[in-house]
Amino acid sequence: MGAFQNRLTAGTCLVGALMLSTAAMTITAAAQDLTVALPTSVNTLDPHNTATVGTDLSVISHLYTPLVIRGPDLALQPALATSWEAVDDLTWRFELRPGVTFVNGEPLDAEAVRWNIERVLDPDFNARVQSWFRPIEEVRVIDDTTLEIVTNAPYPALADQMSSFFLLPPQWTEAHNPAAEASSSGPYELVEFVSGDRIVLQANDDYWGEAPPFQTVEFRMMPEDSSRIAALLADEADFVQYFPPSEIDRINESGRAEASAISGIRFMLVKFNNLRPPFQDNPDLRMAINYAIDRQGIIDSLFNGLGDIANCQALSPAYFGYNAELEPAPYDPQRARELLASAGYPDGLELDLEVPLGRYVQAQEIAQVIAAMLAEIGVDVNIIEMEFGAWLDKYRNAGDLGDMSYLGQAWPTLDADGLLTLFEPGNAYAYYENEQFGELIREARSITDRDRRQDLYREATQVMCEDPPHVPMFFQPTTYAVSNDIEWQVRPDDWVRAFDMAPR
Amino acid sequence: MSGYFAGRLLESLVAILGVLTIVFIAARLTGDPAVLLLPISATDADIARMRQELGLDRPLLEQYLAFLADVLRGDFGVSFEHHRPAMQVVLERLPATFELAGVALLIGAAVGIAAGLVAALARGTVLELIAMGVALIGQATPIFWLGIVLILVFAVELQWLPAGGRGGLDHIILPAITLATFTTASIARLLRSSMIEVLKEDYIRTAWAKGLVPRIVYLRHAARNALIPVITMIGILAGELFSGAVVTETIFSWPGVGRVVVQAIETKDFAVVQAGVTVISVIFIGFNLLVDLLYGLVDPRIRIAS
Repeated sequence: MGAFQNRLTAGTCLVGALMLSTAAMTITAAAQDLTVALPTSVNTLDPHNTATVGTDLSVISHLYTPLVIRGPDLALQPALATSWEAVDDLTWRFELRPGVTFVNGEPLDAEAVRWNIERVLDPDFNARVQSWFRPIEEVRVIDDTTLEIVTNAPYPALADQMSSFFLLPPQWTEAHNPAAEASSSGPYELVEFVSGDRIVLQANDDYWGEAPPFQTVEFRMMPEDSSRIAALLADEADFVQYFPPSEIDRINESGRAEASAISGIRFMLVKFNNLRPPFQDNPDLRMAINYAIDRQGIIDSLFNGLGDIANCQALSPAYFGYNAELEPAPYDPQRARELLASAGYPDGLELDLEVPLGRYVQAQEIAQVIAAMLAEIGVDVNIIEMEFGAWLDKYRNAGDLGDMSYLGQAWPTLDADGLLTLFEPGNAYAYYENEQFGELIREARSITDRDRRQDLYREATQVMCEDPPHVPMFFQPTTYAVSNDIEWQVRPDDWVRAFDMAPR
Repeated sequence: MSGYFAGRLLESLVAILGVLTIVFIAARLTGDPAVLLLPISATDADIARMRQELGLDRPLLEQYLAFLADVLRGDFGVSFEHHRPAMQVVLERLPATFELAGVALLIGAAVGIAAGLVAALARGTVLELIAMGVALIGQATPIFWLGIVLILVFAVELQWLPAGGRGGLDHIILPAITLATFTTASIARLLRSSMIEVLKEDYIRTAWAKGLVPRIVYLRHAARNALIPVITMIGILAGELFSGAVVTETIFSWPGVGRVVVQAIETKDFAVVQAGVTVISVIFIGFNLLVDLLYGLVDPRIRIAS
């Protein structure tokens, strides 16, 4: 009897405990909130005055609807537009979802889309993202749910570009400051925007799409890496990014969160100034430097082995136009020394390496490793560290880039007709004059046929691989950590979105 | 006295004008905000148009005179980043800065004065050694390191206090302690030496000779005089604390004036840099003026001399 009663009590307790824990789990899952710690402040909610994906546009993507949206698998998915196609080389047609409204009741129809594009193109408004839409000639409203965009030249990446273009409510925008307020049509509504501190969102009950996974989402601005990690480990944040790769092990060992890194879309390179000596008209010197740098060694020692070497091209596999056939130049210091001699520098030479600060992961350390590797083949490197703005001024505006510079470049449309234009002869960022390459990418830009474009980019990347204007290094890994309570569909581009996450 | 004060006020205005001029020129020497504001696809024409919109295409002298004329009207321009009046962007951060500075100053003054008195009165004992040892360490500890250690211990390990951000009373404890460390140590060390000096004075010997009890001698006769240099020190420290504490604000994600200005420098948001530095210099100079005034009040000799 005694034993039976004990067993009975134990059994009841067990059942009770199970029920309790199930109930507790249901409650946490349903009511779970998400806190994302951002490394830099979001200063504007106006989608047409910022091009920063990792912070501003990510927050804005919770509030406003774009025509199309890029999923975690990097494929374009329907958003306001249910389908889209290039009717001819100069015309794109979008079919829109009917009945979508903003929380203030304004309709998000073809007319509203036209107003948004015209706002960006308005010379008086001078939107920061105006250059995205420069080729647009006319926006035709066919009916409430059909829209045609006519361009003055083929614009093959228009749909991709639309995935970072968010739509404001026209009437509301006339009377409010969209930099500081919001009238949402997206999965979340704005509750609070405290400059430099936090942005609080709550689920929008009238959202046209799938109900979002969290009731409340809070973005907190935490500029210091150690503080963001501390907030994660103290259970005050669920998601953090952009910390030094050396922190990955520490976070994983805490048992409170999982950390890793994903090879991103930002192409890191050692750029040469090919417009003046010693790199001008000296392909052997360029190749010598290419053979002298052990990229995998840098990834292994500074990035915990996480990160992918660039395959002799600026494009990562995430970009349209990627050439899978190219191979990276091997690390071969002996070959490098020979090439250096045939380049006319048997006794080595002295080169400047400009390094902008505060922008690229471990840039100072990487520059030092590069300098040490080049020293082995007899190249004496002067590392010149510069404040980012001053460096950009010298590089972009003054056309006065040093002999070499360590930098990174990415293009959010993930299309070769974007990133590769930065190497086109005449482009202020290029410092490279390869007419064959220029002709190929200009031709690819003039057509919308995907297969033909892919062929042209295969050729263009091949040309650039054989006559490298730089050392293609690797794709900058993005470090990230998520708390044990949530899951994230990892993506290599910079978007941080609550609807790519879910309670665990 | 009022003539003296008017003179100081005029000096302050000249100082602020000087700061404005230096900031105006320094900001423009560091590069072009237009390139930073625009996406990488922007053409030279886009950049030129943005420069025009920001008024940066005009000759420097013309820009400077227009800037001064606007400032006299109280207009500091619109932030390139926030798309709101720059002064508003800065002023809305003041409550956070004052809150943190106020608490840190209270902690610093209370603990610093207590430690300084103890050290002076317990001269040659272990107590003095401990108080001054701690003060020396406090003054020498990098704020950055201290802040991170406090977060790791109290937020991550013990989970007693939040790791950062502004919110309830619990949010201010760690940043205030971090910020107060240097203040506490400076006040303690200064008060100790000042107290030791004063205790050698003739009037203290007279007080003892009159047969006054130690409490009266130490607190009324000695401490009151020993505190005069400490007041100056507190004033200067307060000026520093209230004009924003960049490092502490950054470690603790505290949305104060210091951080908004540093961020504006990085993004070349000239309007916010200019408004921010103006606010900071007004606060700093204001506290210095206040110290001068207080000095006159506590020490009649200064009033008579002026």
